[in-house]
Amino acid sequence: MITAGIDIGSLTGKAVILKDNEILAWNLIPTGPDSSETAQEVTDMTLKGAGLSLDNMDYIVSTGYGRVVVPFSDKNITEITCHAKGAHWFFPGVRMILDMGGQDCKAIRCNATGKVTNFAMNDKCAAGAGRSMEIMADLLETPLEKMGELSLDIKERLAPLSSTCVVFARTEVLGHLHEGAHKNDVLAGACEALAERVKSLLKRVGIEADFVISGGIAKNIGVAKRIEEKEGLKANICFEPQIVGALSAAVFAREILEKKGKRKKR
Amino acid sequence: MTTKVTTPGEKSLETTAEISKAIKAYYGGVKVAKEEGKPIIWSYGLTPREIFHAMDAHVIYLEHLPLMVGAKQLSGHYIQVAEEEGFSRDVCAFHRCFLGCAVASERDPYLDQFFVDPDFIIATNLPCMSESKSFLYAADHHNVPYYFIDAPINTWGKDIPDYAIEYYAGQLKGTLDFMSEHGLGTVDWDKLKEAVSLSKKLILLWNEIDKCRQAVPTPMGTVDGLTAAYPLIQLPGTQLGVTLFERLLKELKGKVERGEGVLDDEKLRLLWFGVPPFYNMGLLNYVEKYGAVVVKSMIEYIAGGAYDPSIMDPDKPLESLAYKALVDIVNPISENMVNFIRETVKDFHIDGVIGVVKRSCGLLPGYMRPVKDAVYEDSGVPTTIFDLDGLDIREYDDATSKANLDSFIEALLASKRR
Repeated sequence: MITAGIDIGSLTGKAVILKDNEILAWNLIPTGPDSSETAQEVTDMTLKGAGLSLDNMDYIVSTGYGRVVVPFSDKNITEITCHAKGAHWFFPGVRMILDMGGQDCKAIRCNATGKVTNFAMNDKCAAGAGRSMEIMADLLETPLEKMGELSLDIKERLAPLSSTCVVFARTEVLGHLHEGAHKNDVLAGACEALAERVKSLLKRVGIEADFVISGGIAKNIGVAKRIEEKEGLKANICFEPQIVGALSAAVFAREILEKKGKRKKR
Repeated sequence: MTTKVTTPGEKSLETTAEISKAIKAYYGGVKVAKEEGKPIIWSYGLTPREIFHAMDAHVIYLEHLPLMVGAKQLSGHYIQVAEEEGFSRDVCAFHRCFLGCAVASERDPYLDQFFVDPDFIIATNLPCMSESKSFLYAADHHNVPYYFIDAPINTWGKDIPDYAIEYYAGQLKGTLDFMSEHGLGTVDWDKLKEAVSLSKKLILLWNEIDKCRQAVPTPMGTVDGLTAAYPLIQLPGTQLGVTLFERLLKELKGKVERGEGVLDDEKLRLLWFGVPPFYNMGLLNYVEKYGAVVVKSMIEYIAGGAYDPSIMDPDKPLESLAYKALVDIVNPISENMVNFIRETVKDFHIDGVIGVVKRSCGLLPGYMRPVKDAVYEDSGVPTTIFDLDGLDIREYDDATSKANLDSFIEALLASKRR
């Protein structure tokens, strides 16, 4: 049984191909202006990696903000449901998931089977999401993947940033730099502001010890460590936290197929 | 100001269409009264309306104007007018909107049908203290007398002490005297007693209407419900209100007997907590594609939809009205609101609660978490909470609102299948 999960997020498109319960291939690419093209592109790349074609797919589920425009999807499922399921697939004991995506952030509680029991999303501002980190990285001329590590190496003292608006935070960053703050201290401020914002989101759904972080910001050790410290928890992070949604979509596809008993004709 | 992502809600009842006409007729009547030289009052919907009806007063309810212009997607414009006057975006969107309506140098033809300058303003602090300050600004702007009704904050729950009742009844007496002094004649106490009696009748009918709505499938959803609540909010103490509710009850009883629902195959029943998007009531219909119906809204209870009608004694009109106002679920004590929502969830067989936060509100967001926790603890019914300003269309984010609803309903349906 071969299934695919496609997750079209605001910043990246992800695809995972699953054979029974094993990952055959996965990929992620930046989301372009046309979400259906992004879906096609990331799926083609992943199929190629697995040496398969769309015709080999028994069932396909899409998720993410662009889920409804994936032309070859058999069903779409929201990312909240998917992230819970995907986190549960990687870490079966999970009860709380923090998905930190490109333009939003979600705190999710789930039960022992990975079903959602409670969730909260950040408000409309992207200050608690990946896009804010991209803006900071750009402003501080720091590679995104280095941000977290540098933020933990504070040179003098953390340069505080407000946690409410990424545009105003940008102005604050410039202010700190003009006053001579070290880049690492400003990065620490940015990671701290994000972690602080996330803390209240987690509290809204209720803190649980069995905790997973998914999404691109999970790769930022500066944010992840600060969240762990604030909550006194150890976060579980899988080998590629950005594919949790797509993986879960593929798992859903398999489960649907198992129930239906027959593959989807393409 | 329009936006293509918004759609009006779909109403399905004949009586709510009649009620819509009654609203237009009411405000048309205010306009005619002004032309005839009668004094016009601006006030707020939680001021006991029975005293206005007893005095044959013509009142524009300043929280109702924002709802009406909101439904026509004009609220953003008037809110902006208030902001141009210097009001911050943090001020309540309702207040900004009515202040914008009040001070605008030009009004669109829709608002112009209803808008009449005041001869005096009767303000109150129930439920918000800021209400009285916004009204004060309007009084200054129009250079008209201002009277303030001070309502004690309810810290007692349903057992309001006699001294608080006496105090508020005194405030109402002062209001009647003020109206008399400003051209509305002497108080006709028999008429006031009659208004209290009709108000009691109205709430008894509303309770029966609610019983019909508890049927599965429900014969009336919230899109109709919010219009249907108009008599409760603005016509208590009038025969017209009673007549409209009698018709509504008859229509609903017929539907229940025939087993007709908003949706025939009702899979989920939802409760809306907070201010729904009046500029996009179609969002309440949006959930119907999942077989879900927003059966009830908390807003319908504001202004008296939740009190015990047995406390209404026509022989003690002011005391009865004082009790009714002070025990209102939005008079701050959260216990009343929490208990009330808890009971609603059970009575209406609710599967999930949708809580929306209007950031510029200083009152309702504080109820969200206690309500969510209490309802879950009591009935195991989950609540989703997200930002949605029901009045300021400029703040509306269709994608995020629908993302929240999609996820919540998906989880509810999965939980039902479990």
